[in-house]
Amino acid sequence: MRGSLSLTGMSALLCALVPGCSPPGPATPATGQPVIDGTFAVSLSGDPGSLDPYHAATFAPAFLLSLAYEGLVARGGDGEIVPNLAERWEVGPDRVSFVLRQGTTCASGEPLTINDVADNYRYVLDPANHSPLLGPGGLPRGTRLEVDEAARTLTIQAPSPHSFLLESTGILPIVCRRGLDDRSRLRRGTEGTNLFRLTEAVSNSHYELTRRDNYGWAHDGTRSDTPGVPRRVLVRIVPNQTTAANLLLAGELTAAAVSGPDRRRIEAAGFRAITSRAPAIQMWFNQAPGRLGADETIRRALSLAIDVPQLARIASSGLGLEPVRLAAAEPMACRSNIVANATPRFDMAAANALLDQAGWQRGADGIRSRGGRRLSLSMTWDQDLNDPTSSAYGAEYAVSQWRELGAEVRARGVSGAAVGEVLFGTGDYDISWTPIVVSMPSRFLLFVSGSPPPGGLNFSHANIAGVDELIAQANQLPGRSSCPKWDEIERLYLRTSAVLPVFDSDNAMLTRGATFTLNGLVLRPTSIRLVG
Amino acid sequence: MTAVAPMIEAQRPRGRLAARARAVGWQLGRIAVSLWALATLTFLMVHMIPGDPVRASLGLTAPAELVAERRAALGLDQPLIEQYAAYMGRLSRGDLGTSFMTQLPVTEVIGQRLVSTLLLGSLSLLLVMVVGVSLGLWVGIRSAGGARRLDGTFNAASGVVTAMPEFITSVMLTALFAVTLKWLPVAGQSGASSYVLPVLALSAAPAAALARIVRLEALNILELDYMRTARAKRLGWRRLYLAHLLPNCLTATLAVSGLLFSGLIAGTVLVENIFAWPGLGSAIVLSILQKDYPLTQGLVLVFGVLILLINLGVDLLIALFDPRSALRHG
Repeated sequence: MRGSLSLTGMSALLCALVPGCSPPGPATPATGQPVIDGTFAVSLSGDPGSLDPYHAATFAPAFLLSLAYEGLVARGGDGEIVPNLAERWEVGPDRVSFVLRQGTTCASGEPLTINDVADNYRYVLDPANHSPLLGPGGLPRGTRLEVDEAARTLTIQAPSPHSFLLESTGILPIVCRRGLDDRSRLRRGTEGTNLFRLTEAVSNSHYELTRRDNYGWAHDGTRSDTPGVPRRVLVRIVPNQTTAANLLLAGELTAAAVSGPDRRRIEAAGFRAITSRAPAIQMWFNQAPGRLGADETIRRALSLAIDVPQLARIASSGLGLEPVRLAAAEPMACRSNIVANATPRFDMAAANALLDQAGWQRGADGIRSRGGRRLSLSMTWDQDLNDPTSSAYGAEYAVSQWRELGAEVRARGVSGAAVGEVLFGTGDYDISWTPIVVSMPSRFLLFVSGSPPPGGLNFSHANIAGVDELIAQANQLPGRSSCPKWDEIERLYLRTSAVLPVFDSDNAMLTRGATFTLNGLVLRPTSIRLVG
Repeated sequence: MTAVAPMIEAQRPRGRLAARARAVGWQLGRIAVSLWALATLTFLMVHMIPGDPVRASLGLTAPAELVAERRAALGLDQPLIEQYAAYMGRLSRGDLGTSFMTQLPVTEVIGQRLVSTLLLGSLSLLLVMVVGVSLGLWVGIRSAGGARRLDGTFNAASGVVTAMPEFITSVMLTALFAVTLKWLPVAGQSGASSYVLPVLALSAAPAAALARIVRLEALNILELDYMRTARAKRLGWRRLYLAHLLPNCLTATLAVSGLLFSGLIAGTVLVENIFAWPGLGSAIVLSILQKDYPLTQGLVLVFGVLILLINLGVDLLIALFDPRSALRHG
């Protein structure tokens, strides 16, 4: 008896350790019927800390707060802008007017007024408040506001034209009057208008949000009483991804972001993956004066020597997506594929020929040099992004390819915080594997044009003649009508080998017993439905 | 309490109180110096790790002027020596600063998490002591009585368990009891059942290690003359083992358990991560990765103070039980 028991235990243990092997469990028959007043439990890898939406710049608070706060406009499933707290708007190149919907209320029951909305913008625009939402990525400095109480209209006058003014100003999370008057309420609670409000916060353990009453202005028609909308959303803090996967399997979570081998294990157990694209590896060449990457021939030869699909397979363990463009984080403002025809295809012979013609001679050890300077470069890659083991294999592959070309590359993996220091602080790198994770091409260009650090964000010292005029032209066109212009600009960076996109990841949230859509990596709260 | 104790104590009867006070005072002074060294080393180490905390907390895509503003507001643009002076100044007032990442006071973060970690640590310590001492004594007594196979099995099994890192134990326990058998929750701190797996994972290796030491001690002591005499007098097993054997095993046991408990506290770092336990251990890894200086410094300091206090406690306990202890005589 004792022997057989331990044997069963052993086999169960072995089974649990092998991906794809799951013991037969009691399968609950799916009825497909909406579950009324259920609980949606989801994991989050880090504690959000302070919950003031205007002082939270990292992912964890954004994830939690998107359930409780919303903006004047929202993003639909395709990345298009849809009405939300604002029922309509008028947009020009440097100016946008929002008309507040009548009857919008806060979760506490009080009506939301256009003055409350305007006070949110005033708070961000006041430099004394040091909000990370003020600046080129959010509300531009120098923005002016006009409020018309009778017409419930807020007009935002930007200092210069901007293609995506509507997007970048309209999605600001709106805090209700109670939170505006007493910001200390926002550190551990929520005062928003969205479908859920925070009802319990246990730091580092869990955050419980409860559905509010009288919600009913979402573009998708979701109301507080729509069948299948959960009554409770439980956000559990689970730092370890394997633990999150186990919680899913044990039925203690409805949904969790899981990647790599754990994702395969969960998908094999019958969970559905809801995915969202984001760039994973973009290979940047440092073009600072004196660096080897300042020479376009060298950048091009280094790019040609890499079989990008092969590298993508290695570095993503076969899970990556082919890159489509540079500003490629969902929800993408511009969607067309411009990478396919603008990046060099793997051709070692052509790469060698380029360097031969440029006078780079191979030495006795196979490494090229010219005029006493060795073709020796340093490369950094981010250990905190993607799977560090696969990234290391990918780096090894790239280094061996470059060695064949006659370039000596020393690769080292560094932490995410250190990547920031290298790119924006010391600048001591020749090649960096870093993705610029942004949705808008205009935002992307902040990192590849203008002055280099410390004054600006142009970390690779990319310098394309006339790009400022092209950007100014694109910014004259509103919204997606500007996309062809932005495509043209992105293509310039690909053609001059300023950057080589390697692969995008399809970040997945795995779920069973619920449907929802993602806005980037964040849940779209009104889309959550529990199904039996 | 032992046969040797009265003799040694009789040698130095005078000035015992003063000597003891001096010894405790010396201990406290040592702790103060240790704390200062700990605080200084933490400060230096955290600042030496490559990385930019401001950028990490604002995101890679934050505009340059905001980063510069934040850096100035946090005093990170000052020379290191001035930052150190400011840090020590705040520390002496009990102010651990504000976390870069969560924008919450470090004392608040530690306050929220400390109880969970202490609960996990002390439950594990209790289990380690009870299981380690009783198992070690039992095996020691039995193998002194000639139970060769039991001794061999124990040595092999406890050797394996001692060598097993906490995270392997955690993964195996979770796979078996939570995912496959579904008897216990996978992770999180909820009811009493949620404590079972983390406590087991944390205490398995130290309990096995302690049992091995207690077994060895017991075997050595059982061979001593006074034990042979006691057995020859046909004392009952209770007096024989609980009054004569156990107390004499305790000195070594206590000395080792101090080390084991320090190890336990360090072990929480991995175990809390795997079991999504809202304690200090899961916070420390993240704070180091994110270069959250104030939080890392605060957490390392708390861990250091805990370990120093445990060692002090153990020294005092040994003084209580062992007449040869220096602390007892100054």
